[in-house]
Amino acid sequence: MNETVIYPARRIITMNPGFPFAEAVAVRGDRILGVGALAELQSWGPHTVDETFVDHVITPGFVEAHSHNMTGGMWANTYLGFFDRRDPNGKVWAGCKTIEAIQDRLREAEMEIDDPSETLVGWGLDPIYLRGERLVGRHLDAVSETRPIFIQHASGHLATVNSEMLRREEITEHNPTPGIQLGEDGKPNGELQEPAAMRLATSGFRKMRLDISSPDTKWGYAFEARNAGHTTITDLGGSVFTDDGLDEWRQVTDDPDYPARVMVAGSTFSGPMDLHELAQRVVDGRDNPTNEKLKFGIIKLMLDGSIQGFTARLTWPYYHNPPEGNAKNGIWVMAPETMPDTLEIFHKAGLTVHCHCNGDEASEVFISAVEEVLERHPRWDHRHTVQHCQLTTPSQYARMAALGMHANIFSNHIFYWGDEHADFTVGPERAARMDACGTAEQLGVPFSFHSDAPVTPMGHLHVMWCAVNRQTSTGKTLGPDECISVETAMKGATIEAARQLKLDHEIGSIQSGKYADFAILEEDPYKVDPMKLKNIGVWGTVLGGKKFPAATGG
Amino acid sequence: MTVERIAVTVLGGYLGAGKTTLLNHLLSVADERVAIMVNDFGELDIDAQLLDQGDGKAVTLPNGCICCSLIDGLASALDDLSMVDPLPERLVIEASGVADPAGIAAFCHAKPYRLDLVLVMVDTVDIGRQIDDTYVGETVRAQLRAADLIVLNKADLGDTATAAALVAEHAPNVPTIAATQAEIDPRILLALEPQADHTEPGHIHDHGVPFETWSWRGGIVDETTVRTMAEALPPGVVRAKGLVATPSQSFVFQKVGERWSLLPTDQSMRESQLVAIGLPATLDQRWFQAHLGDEDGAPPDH
Ligand SMILES: [Zn+2]
Ligand SMILES: [Zn+2]
Repeated sequence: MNETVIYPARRIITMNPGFPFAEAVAVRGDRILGVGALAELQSWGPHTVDETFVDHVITPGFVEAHSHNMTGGMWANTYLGFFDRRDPNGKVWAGCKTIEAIQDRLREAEMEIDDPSETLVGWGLDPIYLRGERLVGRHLDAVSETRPIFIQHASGHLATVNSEMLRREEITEHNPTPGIQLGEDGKPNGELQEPAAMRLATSGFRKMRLDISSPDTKWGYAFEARNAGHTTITDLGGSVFTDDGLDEWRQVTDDPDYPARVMVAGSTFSGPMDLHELAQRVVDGRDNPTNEKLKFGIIKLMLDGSIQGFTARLTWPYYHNPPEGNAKNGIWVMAPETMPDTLEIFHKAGLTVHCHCNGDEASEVFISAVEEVLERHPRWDHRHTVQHCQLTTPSQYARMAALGMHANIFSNHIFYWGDEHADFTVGPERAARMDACGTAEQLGVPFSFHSDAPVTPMGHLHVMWCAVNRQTSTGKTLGPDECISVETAMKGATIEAARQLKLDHEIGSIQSGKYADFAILEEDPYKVDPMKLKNIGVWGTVLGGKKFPAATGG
Repeated sequence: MTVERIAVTVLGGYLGAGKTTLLNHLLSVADERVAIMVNDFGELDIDAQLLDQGDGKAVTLPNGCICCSLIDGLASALDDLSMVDPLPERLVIEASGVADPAGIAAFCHAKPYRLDLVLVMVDTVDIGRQIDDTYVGETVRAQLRAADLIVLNKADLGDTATAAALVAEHAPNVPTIAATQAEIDPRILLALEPQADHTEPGHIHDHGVPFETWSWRGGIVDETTVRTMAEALPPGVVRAKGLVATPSQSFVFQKVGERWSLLPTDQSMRESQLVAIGLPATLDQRWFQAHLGDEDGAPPDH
């Protein structure tokens, strides 16, 4: 029989409404034996007391219900973003605030590469934040005139390359591909707009692709999670759902040192698959678990594009200040009329469908499809979830509540793109009610929130801070009436996210019988100034009773 | 040396227009190594046997692998295919029913690809409803605008004149042809070879849809003369191809729909030749002579 270990802590926040706080938690094997006072727990018999967390606050391990494993592969290349960002090894990379800082970072990275012809790749650049001059190929020539350089911007819609890349890949003004930007001399200036033009810089594009499909990516993904206090993460589309693709997941999660549970969503995004076959594979995976860390049971679908890319589907009056020449509305990724029949396949299989809907027209299509399919095949407790749910209206939330749907809200957008949303994409009023956690709570829609890593960095303390304070990157408050309490935010980060994944019987709160999955925090989220939520230090996690300290850099 | 590029056909059109039928038809008539890229095999009824006979290859086109476009799915699929051996001679990309074919075509100018034809299928019976649909109306209209050639399919079931008029409101300069069961003349669908069928203007009837071909032979011509001719070709000429010898260099001339190109080739030639196919009576028999000069190398009329 497994040994019993009792962990006293400064405080334990259980997220179990019947027993919200405790001073200690007892763990046997990978499960929670009980919470309570130290003396009460000692009645379970022989035990050891482990005082590692005696000065820490223990909460349920954070549950992330929407991210992508490729986030773990980004760090094979050089980070050039504006904000400080921590890599999976714990090293904090200072944000690059000027073109000179970007050049210096690239020069350092260049010295690490032995092969003089190998392409140097950078990522995360966000020119919106760089005041003044626009970064072009000439600035990268100052780093190297002999090695190709490829810089991908944070939006994913732009790349900047140096002259050597233009020369090697024969990217000239004669190529008819739209998006090759020309300088005053009529020659390409190094900026490639949109993926069609970015792909012309083949060596850079190819290096990024290979880096994110290596097995190291899946490890990096879990390291990032651990560093932020997450014990369960969701790869929401992006995994290849073939035998080979799933074997990779089995291998990493079988390793006792792999520091996260992973819910892998079924999707057809990266492999040929009949939808009925996909449904069957997900059901098989759910019902025949190969280990305690790999989870199945959800399907990812996608209806529209992104708001900041002006490709999300909005209802009238559409976009506020779109760029010249932009279409009035966004794009469909799936034909709306096919949604009910597609949903029906997974609904009938007993699975939960998570559908990417950024715009309110997309939410409308998905909610209506759920309604139609429920009329055809009534089913209790489906928990079909609107993902991103950024512009969902109060009337749509009311329908979601009535239909038993969940919401997973992209609260990090408020900080990262809130100012752009108010000024350009949707205008001030709709921006003020974007990512409306307050409305969801008021109308009774169970919700979680997410980072969508690598779109924004993984970390529920930051997402909670966004949902509670709704501050943009310039310090404005966007829609104060949608702010939620820290208590509600804690639910979204733990038990509600678990519920959305139908894992709330196993994880999401600290109570007897559940997995011993904890976030170990340096401060008490209920006691710090809510504006300091995102600054709370994370010691690491406990996953299935095993300690996983966060990496601290190097 | 000039490497022959993979000719790309982008096949667009809303749901139910007959894209898969056309794809199977194309596979049955193609005599080149064809690769196909489709959105979702699960929903399709690809005749795998046809693909195998042609020594072809099927690739899935991911419809946006994740929420952000950090790594584009189409770009990745094209990158993978560019590394297979042997390379296909033609790639047919079947767009999803809501995709903008222009967006896909934008990817097809990268090595080793060459955009050949953006073909948009229209459901003759249903286009009237689709074009004004609340959700997808603009998507369907954008598809029409993106086409080099529009096929009014299911011609046997609907009124092609009405459909053609509707389509022309949104894509006035794009040639349209009618088809039943997506059966289209292979010379329009795939490639015209200047060597073949070059002596006499001809008429063919393919399932009730007539096309006319025109051809021309000559000596060395000026590049400017060829460019002027290309601009002057009327939209009814759906496809044209030629090998053109100029005093300094030889070129391959290609025209599909409204789009044409003149690309240098390493072949050294003393003779030029050209063949075109299109709607009947678009050109008269002396059109090319008038624009390019006659076979003795005499200059054009004007
Ligand atoms: Zn998404
Ligand atoms: Zn996502």
